[in-house]
Amino acid sequence: MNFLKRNYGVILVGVGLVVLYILLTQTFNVLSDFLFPNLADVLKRFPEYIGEMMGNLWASLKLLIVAFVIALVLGIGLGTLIGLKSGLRRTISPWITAATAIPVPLLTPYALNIFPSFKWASIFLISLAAFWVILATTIGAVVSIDRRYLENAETLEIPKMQKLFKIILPAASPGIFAGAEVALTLSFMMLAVAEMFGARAGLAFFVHHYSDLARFDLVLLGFLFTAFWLVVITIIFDRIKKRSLNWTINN
Amino acid sequence: MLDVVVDHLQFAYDKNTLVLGDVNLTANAGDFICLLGQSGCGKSTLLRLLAGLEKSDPNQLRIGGKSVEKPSLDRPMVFQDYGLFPWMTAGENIGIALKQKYPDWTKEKRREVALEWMDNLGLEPELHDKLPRDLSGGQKQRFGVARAFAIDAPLLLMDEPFGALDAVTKALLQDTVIDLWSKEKDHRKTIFFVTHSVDEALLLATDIVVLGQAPSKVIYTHHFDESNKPKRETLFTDPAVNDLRTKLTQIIYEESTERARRLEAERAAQHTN
Ligand SMILES: Nc1ncnc2c1ncn2[C@@H]1O[C@H](COP(=O)(O)OP(=O)(O)OP(=O)(O)O)[C@@H](O)[C@H]1O
Ligand SMILES: [Mg+2]
Repeated sequence: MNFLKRNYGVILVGVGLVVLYILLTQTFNVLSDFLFPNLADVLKRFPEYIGEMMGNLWASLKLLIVAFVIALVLGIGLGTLIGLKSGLRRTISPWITAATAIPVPLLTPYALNIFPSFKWASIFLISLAAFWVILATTIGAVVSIDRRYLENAETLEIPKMQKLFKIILPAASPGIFAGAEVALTLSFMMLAVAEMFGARAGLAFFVHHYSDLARFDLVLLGFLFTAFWLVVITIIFDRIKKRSLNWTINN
Repeated sequence: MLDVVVDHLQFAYDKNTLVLGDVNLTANAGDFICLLGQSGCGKSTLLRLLAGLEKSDPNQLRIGGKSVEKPSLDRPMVFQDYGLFPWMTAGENIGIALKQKYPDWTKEKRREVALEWMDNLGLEPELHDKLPRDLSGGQKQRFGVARAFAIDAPLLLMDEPFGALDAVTKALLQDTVIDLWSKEKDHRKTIFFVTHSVDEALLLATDIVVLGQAPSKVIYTHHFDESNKPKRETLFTDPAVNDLRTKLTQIIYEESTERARRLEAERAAQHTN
């Protein structure tokens, strides 16, 4: 009950969207019912396909989680290093800017060719897309840490490693989280792109596969299922972010 | 407990504008030095040099006989703001300082000592686990002071620590600081304390040092003997203290009008050229 009360706006919008869909399809036939099937029919397929979709979800999640964690570790690690060393930053940042000019999806054929398996090729592509964003925002966040915090840490003679984890990363964390959030969205997109090439499993593969078979009821079901999980992942991310940034004035 | 010798100290942030012109002063171990002077004259700069946050010529600044190479736990600074790390609880802010000073203490021991210092400054134990953003300005200042005293350094640098507080809180904290400083009889800390308030300087200092306008020099000093140091009760009644207050106020005022006149003259000279 409390949940309904707190989220009634969200629920209202959801109901609105469903009504709009029904109006556009069954009621006024604006959209073809071949491409946009009856919602009730779509939902009827759910029990039959839930097992297959869960398997695909797991396949996608494995790629996403591994890739995102790699991007986080490398992006935050290298970003902090580059942010702290102004000499290194001057040498390397034009190259970072240049590298981000290449759209990662364009690298798909190369990745599939270079990496031994589809799995590692997709992990590479998803990681790379997320990595650039995390790297750039981490550098920015570290560079713009208020000097007074660092001076304060210096007067306390806090040693290097402790300074990194107790001062520098927390001070930069609002910027890093903002970057990671964008990177997460990008990884969803890259995941979909990667799975459309040689994947044998995954949520985007599911959609792609049934779209090839012209089963648009299952395509829609796949979209709804995927959307649900994206929202869940985003909510979990948001929770972590809120908790980690509870010290900021805005929270 | 450290003596400080400032000998013809010069300093500039950028090459063309001197901030400290020629500062000379000597602080004996255990002195409580209050720095007075107009905004922008270089008080914070002098403190930053003492802290080692800015580089100084090793011949021009010596603390305990040594040159100042870099910041040290022996010379903690109480900053006017940004004193506490906002992502740690207020208590952890004291704890992280204790951890550097006493590496072999357990977490429990650090907490215990932090709570003791909080108590010394009139901070409730519940505040230990609060985030700085949930504290009042006065409470934050007190945590800053507690941290500086907790690491038991021989030299304390305080930059307008009570600038933004109400009169009552300010008075309480002033009394606490005098208390903490004076009770360590023969091993008192040397304290450099920047303030804008002549009354605060009169109340706290063993030595009052007035800096002139940038590029600044010391334009006036006054030393109190233990016996004639003003007390809060006599701060406004003792005629000698009243005279000194008038004198200090006048010196600071004249220096600033003098500077205004000089700038005016310079501008006029430029116009005629
Ligand atoms: N990091 C810096 N870089 C360049 N100039 C600076 C820097 N910090 C201070 N200054 C300049 O040095 C001069 C002295 O500044 P300082 O902060 O020491 O003054 P202050 O006496 O502490 O003033 P206030 O009473 O307002 O705090 C000022 O003219 C200021 O503009
Ligand atoms: Mg200042």
